[in-house]
Amino acid sequence: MAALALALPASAQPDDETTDQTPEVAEEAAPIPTRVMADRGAVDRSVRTIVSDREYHFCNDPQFRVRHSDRDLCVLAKASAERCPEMERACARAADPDRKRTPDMSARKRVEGDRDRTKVEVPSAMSGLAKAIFWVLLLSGLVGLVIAIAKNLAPAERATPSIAPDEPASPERAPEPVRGPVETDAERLLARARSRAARGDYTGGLQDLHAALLRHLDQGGLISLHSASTNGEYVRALREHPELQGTLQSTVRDVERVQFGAAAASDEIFQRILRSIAPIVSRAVLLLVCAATALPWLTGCDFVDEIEEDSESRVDWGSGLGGLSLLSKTLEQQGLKVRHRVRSLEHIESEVGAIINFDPNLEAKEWDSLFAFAESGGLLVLADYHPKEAKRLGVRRIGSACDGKLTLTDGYRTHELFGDAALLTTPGAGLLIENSDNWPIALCNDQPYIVAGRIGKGAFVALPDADLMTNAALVAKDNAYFWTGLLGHASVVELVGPWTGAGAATPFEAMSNTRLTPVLIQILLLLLVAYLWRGAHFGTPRDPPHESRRAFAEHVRALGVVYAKARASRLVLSAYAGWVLDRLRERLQPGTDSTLHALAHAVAERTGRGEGDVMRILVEARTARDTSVRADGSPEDLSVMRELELLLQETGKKR
Amino acid sequence: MNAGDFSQLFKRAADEVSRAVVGQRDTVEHVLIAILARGHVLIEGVPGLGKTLLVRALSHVIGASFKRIQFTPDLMPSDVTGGNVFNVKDAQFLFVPGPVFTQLLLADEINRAPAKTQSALLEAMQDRSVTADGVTRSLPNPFFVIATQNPVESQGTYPLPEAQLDRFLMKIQVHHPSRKTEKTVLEYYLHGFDPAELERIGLERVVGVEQLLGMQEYLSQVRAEGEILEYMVDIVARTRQNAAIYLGASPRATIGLLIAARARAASEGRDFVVPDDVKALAPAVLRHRLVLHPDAELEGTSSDDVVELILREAPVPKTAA
Repeated sequence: MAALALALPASAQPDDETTDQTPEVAEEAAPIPTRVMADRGAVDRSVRTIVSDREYHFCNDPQFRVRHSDRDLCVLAKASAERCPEMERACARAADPDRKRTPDMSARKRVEGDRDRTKVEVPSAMSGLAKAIFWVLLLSGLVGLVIAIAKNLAPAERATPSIAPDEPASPERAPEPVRGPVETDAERLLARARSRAARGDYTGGLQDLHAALLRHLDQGGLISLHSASTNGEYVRALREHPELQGTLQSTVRDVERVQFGAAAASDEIFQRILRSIAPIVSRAVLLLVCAATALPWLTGCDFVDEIEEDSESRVDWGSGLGGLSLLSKTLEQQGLKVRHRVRSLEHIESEVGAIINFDPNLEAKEWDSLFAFAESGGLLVLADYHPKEAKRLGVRRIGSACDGKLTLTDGYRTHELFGDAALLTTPGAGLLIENSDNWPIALCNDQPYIVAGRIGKGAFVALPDADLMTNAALVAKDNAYFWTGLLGHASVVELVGPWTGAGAATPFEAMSNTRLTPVLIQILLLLLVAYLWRGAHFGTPRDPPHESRRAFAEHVRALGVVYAKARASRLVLSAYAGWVLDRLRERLQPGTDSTLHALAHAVAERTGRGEGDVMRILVEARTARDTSVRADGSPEDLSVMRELELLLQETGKKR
Repeated sequence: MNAGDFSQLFKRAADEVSRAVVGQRDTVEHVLIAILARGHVLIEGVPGLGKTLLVRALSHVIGASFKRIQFTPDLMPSDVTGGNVFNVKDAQFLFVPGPVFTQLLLADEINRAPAKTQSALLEAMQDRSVTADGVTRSLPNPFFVIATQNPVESQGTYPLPEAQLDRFLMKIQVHHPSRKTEKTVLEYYLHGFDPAELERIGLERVVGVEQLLGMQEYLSQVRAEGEILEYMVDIVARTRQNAAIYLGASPRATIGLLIAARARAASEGRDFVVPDDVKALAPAVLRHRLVLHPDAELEGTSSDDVVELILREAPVPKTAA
């Protein structure tokens, strides 16, 4: 168990009168340790490797600028110079307010100053799949945005994809003007029209006025804007609104006179159109503003307050001076498994050996879970001070008691434990031990700074603040070695912070946790209003894909249409007559090449028709077969074909 | 003449013709636009819709000489153009002009005559002249052919060849009138209307031939911006790429579209063409110049459907969308 590392050797003596009871108690309470499970040299190499990464700008970037809130960590700069060479210089620049800012620095200010603040931190407890989904969604969004912008930038090319490819490339043809993003907001179009007119660009101003009116009518559902629709069609679409129709008609007349006619745009025309359009467009904007103002009032009144309430408890997990990422990375390099705990504290897994809590605003139930974890043998490190829980543990913070130089108590200075390790933190508060069962691990100005105590089978470690765990502190002296040694017995270390318990069992809980409920309700209401208002469909309506399978008869009919259009009835008759004559011979005189007269006789006998009539039809058929006789197609060809078809049917009947 | 005068005369002529031809205002205006654009018109509709009456009323209103040829299967080309006849008295051949020598020619049921006779009109329509026995004779100015055909009957008819169809600036379809219009027609007849005697209803000649020529001349002053020309070319180009069309419209169609659009612009009192002019006339100018694939015909697609689809897709210049 991690609590073993906190134990004191039997020979340990209190070195401070404020903790006169500690050694005996500790001796009884804690098992005797064998040794610290960390190698000082290995920890040093880990820290150097980690901070050599460019991610740690405060160690590597000569232009790094220290954030105002991190300036108090600069007292650690001198002690960090060996591992972190640039930190001291950055702190020196921060300490010199009269130093003139060079142009180069000015340019880098916004990049460097807040780099660690803007870094996206993904809690390590997030699963690989969740990370993948997160990045896929982010990338998809970015790609979608780029495509949308590209489409907006090139609408002209999109709209005319089918310009005849066969037309020769015409060098004299003017290149298509590249259109920028299309403005669709009527009010902004109106404003742009005014600004163009003010610059003397009345042509552009008129176009914007025209567009503003059309956009307004489109948004009102009175017309449907389409790139292939003409102004006349828009005017006709307003036949049920004579007043608007009149306005649009007069506007269109003036605008087209300038666009397509010889008239020049003038201030007079511009003002005339503006006077008729402005009241119409502004009314709609007023309504939208009212709706936009009213909806948040209706749905999200306490939203801002909730955000502000939690804003102080945020923990910076960045790679800046005040960040805490170095702690988890160092522990991981020393073989520990470090997790940000996203799940609630309700059930803490048995594999967890130590928990470091950075969130002083936990709920009572969560504190109880942490204490229960410690009672069952775990090590609880309270990185930030919480008065109520500190009182429960028997420690109290006292202000300005520490100059930053920490001394390990004798019991921890043995060869097996931390030896001559030196610790350094920022000047500030210290702790006072109020429970005689607790004991100090490190002192500052002879006052306890790091205090430990037993909770059931486990233990706790309390600090006045989290500065000793910051990146700036871990590169100084033996701070990193101390934490690695202290936590080294735990195979799994969990970090508890504001994110803990943010995981949700249901989508509704997730929505509630993220405080997006008011926003989503607003969006749903807006969608509902839009649906009731426009009944708009999503996407372009399309007919279902047409099935191209056809019956054989339809193919024959299509072929017939082609022959008919070509007026090739004679050709068809010729082919058909030959086929019918062959069929008749096969049926009535198979195997013989009989004369037409013999065939007519046989057909007449079979069908009961007059032989003369049959002979006439067969002669016509044979004439049609004769390709040497050129004859134009005529309506009579069809009647011959029908007669032949009848003969074929009659001879095919059972006798 | 300016655009205002043009528009006024146009409206008066259309109003006057519409007094005789009730409920066919669009058809009347299209025919007038075609005439002003020096184009010929093919009117398609079932019998009894007033096609012949429309042409007669039009000739009356514009004061043009008018002749009618009833096309039949046995009609010969010389029956249309005229020919040389031997004059025994003078002992020489004398050219007897055919009915084509007129200002307004009504070719009634043109698809009843064989292609040979139909083709007799080709030169007259394109060059406005007739050549007989090696001698070319000019036709009167103005000269228009207004042909009619019945879309229902196919037996004993000879569909016009593509080359002939392309000579018509517009093909106008006349449909059955609405109930209200039909009732108005009956009321006209109750009051003694006789289509054979248009003078009896007081139909006036509101545009003389000279004025008509002046209006035709004015069209050269109507502007058409480059973007409008692009729009026309785009529409016609799309007819050559559509999957349902076997043969798209010719450059003659593009030219016809431009001339007709100019006439429509002037008729609206404008001295410039707008996209509306093009879009309004494109169906009439293009529908008879498209040859559909048999597959498309089998599926019941008409050239009007295709043109409508093209107009729904072709982007209009200088739109706010």
